[in-house]
Amino acid sequence: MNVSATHRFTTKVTPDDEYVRPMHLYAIVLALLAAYVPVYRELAADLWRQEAYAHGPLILLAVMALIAARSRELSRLSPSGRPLGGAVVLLAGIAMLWLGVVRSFPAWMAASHIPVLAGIVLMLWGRPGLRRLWFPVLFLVFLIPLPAIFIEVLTWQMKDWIALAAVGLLERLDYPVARSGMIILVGQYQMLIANACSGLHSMLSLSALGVLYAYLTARHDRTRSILLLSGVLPIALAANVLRTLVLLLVTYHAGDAAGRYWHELMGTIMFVVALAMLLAFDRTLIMLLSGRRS
Amino acid sequence: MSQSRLSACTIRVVAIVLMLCSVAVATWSGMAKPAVTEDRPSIDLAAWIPPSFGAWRVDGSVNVVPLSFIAAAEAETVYVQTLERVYVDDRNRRIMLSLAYGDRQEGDLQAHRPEFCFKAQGFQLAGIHDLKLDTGSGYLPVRRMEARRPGRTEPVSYWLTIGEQAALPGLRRKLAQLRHGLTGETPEGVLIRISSLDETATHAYAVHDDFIHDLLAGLSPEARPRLAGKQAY
Repeated sequence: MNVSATHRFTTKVTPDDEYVRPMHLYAIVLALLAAYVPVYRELAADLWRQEAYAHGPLILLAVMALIAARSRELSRLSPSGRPLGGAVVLLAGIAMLWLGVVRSFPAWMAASHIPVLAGIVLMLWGRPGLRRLWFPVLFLVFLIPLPAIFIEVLTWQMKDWIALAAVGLLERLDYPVARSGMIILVGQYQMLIANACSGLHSMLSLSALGVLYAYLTARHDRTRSILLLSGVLPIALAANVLRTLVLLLVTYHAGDAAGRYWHELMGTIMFVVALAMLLAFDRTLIMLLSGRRS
Repeated sequence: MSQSRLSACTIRVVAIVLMLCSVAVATWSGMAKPAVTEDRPSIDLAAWIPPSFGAWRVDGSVNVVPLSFIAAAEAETVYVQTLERVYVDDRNRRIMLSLAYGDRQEGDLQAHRPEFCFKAQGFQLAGIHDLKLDTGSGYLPVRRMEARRPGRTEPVSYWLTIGEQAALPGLRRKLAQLRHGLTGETPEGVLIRISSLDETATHAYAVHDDFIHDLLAGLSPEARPRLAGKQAY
């Protein structure tokens, strides 16, 4: 028995043995869970509770789905010849994760996902594997929080643009409107453009969604995907100008209480509106681009 | 090749699993818990800043209102404690003192920086410059600026602390922050802003300096390093 089995193995050109089997992947997923569950517990209590990064778990789900969608293809890939490079990348990722946990740096914990995943893929399948999974690996960037000072400057700039646009439009429509810094006066009402109004929060999630959408639908059309991506930020900004306008008008016409009520509601509405704008933009692109080709 | 020998793939998978598990074991067993440094009492700003010191006392009459920290009203700054007071001295000079204290890392305090705060409320900023204020037994890094909007000219002096070190926004502060990060502490930070309504900036700054000297002398020994940094003494 033993002899014949051995014989069977040695004569086969590519033995089953040399492919990455489901069992291997289950083991790796379990180990990943063991390493990352405490991290997710910490992120859930901190980073993911901030509006700007609440999309973190969804990013993870999307990445899992994107990898799962490639699983059949990966299972037929022969393993990498030199796994050492991948091991180095994985170790770097583990060091990052470790430092993040020890020092409670959410940014490091989040960023470690990229080298950890890239390292595992490289160790198993080498570069051909990474070529098939480049998008899910890079998409993990959206887990990483931006540095505070960057956020501050960006938020400031966006609030400035929003105030400028909203006040400019209302002036043109002959509303009694004035602006002093981030305070806007309409009629007898005074409104502050708070940091939350900059739309930076929704902008990050909208960017992530836009990138995912572009990858899923326009991956093979470079012009369309580039145009689509460059449209994401202006659309998010436009949605926030619209939101500010609506709030100013509601407050002016219906009073302070109504304005406050709508303030809560508008955040969600605007995200949906921005998404619809993105889809409409894509429709237009498809029309224009197909017109160009025919 | 014998049947019992592990395939190359299995060896790699075992290596991957072992690496991941090393982190897992460390975190689950608590080895990787952040070093707890919360042995210092947290600041109670109102109690730490004496109501009177030197020639100064809290001004009861509310002729002058300090510009409020605009970010204080926003949800993202729940970790920040603020204090705003007006002081007057025996020569009837008035100083607005505003403090913001954050017991967590950075970020939250950034939003309270006068550069943002004043601009947000419609001020133009001019003459921004940094200097080292001689405290007699050390120095204090101070940033100054003139904030103006129609009807209000307000020269401002301010500084920030991180842990027990005073540092203005910039590279030094980033480095101090990084150092704290690597030693595992989450440093507290205080922002101290002094301003007055005065058309002449040089005159205002001279009053600010008097006020700062008296304030530092009036602080309790435990409050001093946390509000002005160790270099000041």
